[in-house]
Amino acid sequence: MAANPREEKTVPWGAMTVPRLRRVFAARLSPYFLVLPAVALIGLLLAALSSLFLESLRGPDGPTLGLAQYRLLAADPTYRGYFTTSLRIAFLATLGCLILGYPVAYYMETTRRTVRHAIVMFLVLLFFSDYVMRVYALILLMGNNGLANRALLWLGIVRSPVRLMYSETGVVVGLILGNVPFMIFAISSVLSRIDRRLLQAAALLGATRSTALRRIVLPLSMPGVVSGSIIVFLLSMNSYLTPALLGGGFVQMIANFVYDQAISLWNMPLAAAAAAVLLVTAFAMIALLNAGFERLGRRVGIVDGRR
Amino acid sequence: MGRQKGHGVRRLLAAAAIAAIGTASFDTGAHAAEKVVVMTWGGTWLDYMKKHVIEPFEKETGIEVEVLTHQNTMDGLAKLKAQKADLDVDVWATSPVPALLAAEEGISQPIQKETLANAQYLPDALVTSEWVAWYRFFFGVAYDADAVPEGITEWQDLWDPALAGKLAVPSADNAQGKFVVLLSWLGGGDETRVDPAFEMAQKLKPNVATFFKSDTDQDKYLQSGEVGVASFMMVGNFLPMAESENLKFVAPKPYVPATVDVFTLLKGKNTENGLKFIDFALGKQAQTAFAAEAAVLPANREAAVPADLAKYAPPESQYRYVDEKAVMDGLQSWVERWNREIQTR
Repeated sequence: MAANPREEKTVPWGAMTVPRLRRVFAARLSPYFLVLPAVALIGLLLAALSSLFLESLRGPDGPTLGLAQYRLLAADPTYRGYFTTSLRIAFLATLGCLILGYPVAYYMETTRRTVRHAIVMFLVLLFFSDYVMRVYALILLMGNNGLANRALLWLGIVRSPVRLMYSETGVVVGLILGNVPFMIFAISSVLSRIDRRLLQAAALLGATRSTALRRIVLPLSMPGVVSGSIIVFLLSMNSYLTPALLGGGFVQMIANFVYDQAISLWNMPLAAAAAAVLLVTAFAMIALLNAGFERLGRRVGIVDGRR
Repeated sequence: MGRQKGHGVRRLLAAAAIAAIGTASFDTGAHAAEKVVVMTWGGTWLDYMKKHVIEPFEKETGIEVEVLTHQNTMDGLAKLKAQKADLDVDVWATSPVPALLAAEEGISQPIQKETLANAQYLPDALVTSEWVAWYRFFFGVAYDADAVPEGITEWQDLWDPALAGKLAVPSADNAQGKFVVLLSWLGGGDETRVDPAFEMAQKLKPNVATFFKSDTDQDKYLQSGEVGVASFMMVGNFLPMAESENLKFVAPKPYVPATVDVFTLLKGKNTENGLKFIDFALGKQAQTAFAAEAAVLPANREAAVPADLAKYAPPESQYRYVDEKAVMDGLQSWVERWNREIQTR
């Protein structure tokens, strides 16, 4: 320490007055104190995740650690089926949300203020209503005595109620209706930031509305599409309640499998392994979507090539 | 300043000493300090228990009852296991399978029948060394008479092709596998040989509209007209719906699966009081009052069966109790197999 000439010029600790010491401490240490909650939060999360991961390494019998649970998940066609079913359902739900959500978001940004406010109000209400309640509302809509069936019966299209629920289609429809507000908000927030002058310029240069939509609005709204898709995909992939209530027990997604293993069967290691695979899949999907977006973005010129 | 501080410390020490002496004498001497710690279900169940068991018990014995609740029995078992080293729960109100698991974990202790005066009024099968029955309940079929005009009298009727797509059927883990046991009985098997259950379930699939995990889901499916038949309903769950004229409940032939909820004696700190509490809960008075409010059958033969329940209850000979030990050994593999073979399209 003495070898450093700069250190010698500073006042030695012993010679500092108390108020000065306090000031130095405050200045040097306060950032560390301020970051403590974040560290605690991240630490807690990492601890929980690592304990989950550790649990997943436990073998079926004994304390030996290994990949037995993962091998089991990969080898068993029924277990693999839970993952492929979840991926398929999440993909279809995301696609459905995009197809339904984009036009709504676009309409919101182009229509009168009052209409936009009404739509926003409606979506916010949906947000604040309980998810379980929304799923039960779907049962009222799609059930045997539901609105849809009554309409079909009244119109004479069917003679007896048709099963709209208790199948994969029912789950996909449920997830679309449950998650579409996320997609709409994600897209509309991006749409609202698009510079209107670009559209005016396009019109001046002779572009029709559909050309402007295709070549300006659509590419510029891609960040919203991607973030909305990520949110909806993850929510759908992880969903437990919708398949449990609308799948009629015939549709098992990963979360249902994890619940069964962890709570009903007390097979924590296998549940933990399945949860870990779900987590990794989710991260992989985010990375994939982001990478795809970057490539696309570079092509249409909204992402800097050097990034 | 120094003197004052010293004074303060001395005063604090004196206060602590007095407090320590106070608690010590309180612990050894006073009757009022006696307690028993009970873990049980929360919600309305706890309200009924407080009203008809806990409060009368406190009044009669002067022993204070400290109540802890579990979300469900398996959650309770996890909590108890976590404090195994220094367990401070004496009585656990639970189901037979978790009670057996608790015995396996070494957190409960055997109950000697002679230590419970009221145990003599219980059927022999309802007093074991791991648990003593608190009350009984049975499962039957609830259906909408509009959807099933022919009615249901036997379990076999569930397989009637006329009921295609009309049934709500429990998942294998619902009610700790009781439905699988029933199917096994109907197919000629039992709790240890369940292949017949899976054959029966395969044949039942065309009639299944939906599987359910929780009893409340089943109630909703039936009440909303989503299904015409609730295939496996506890009679107590039906009573609140009984007002509706279209809904009927039947305890089908040839037998009615019956089971119990139980008390188990844990290795707590107040074993004597724990036994007193269990014995009190098995008494005729507490049994009659609790059964009436909770819509269950009393375990004590001397106690009265609630009137609104009695009209649905089959004769005693028709009850068949589930072999809970065999269920505990088999349940995990049943659920696995059920999810693989039955709950798929």
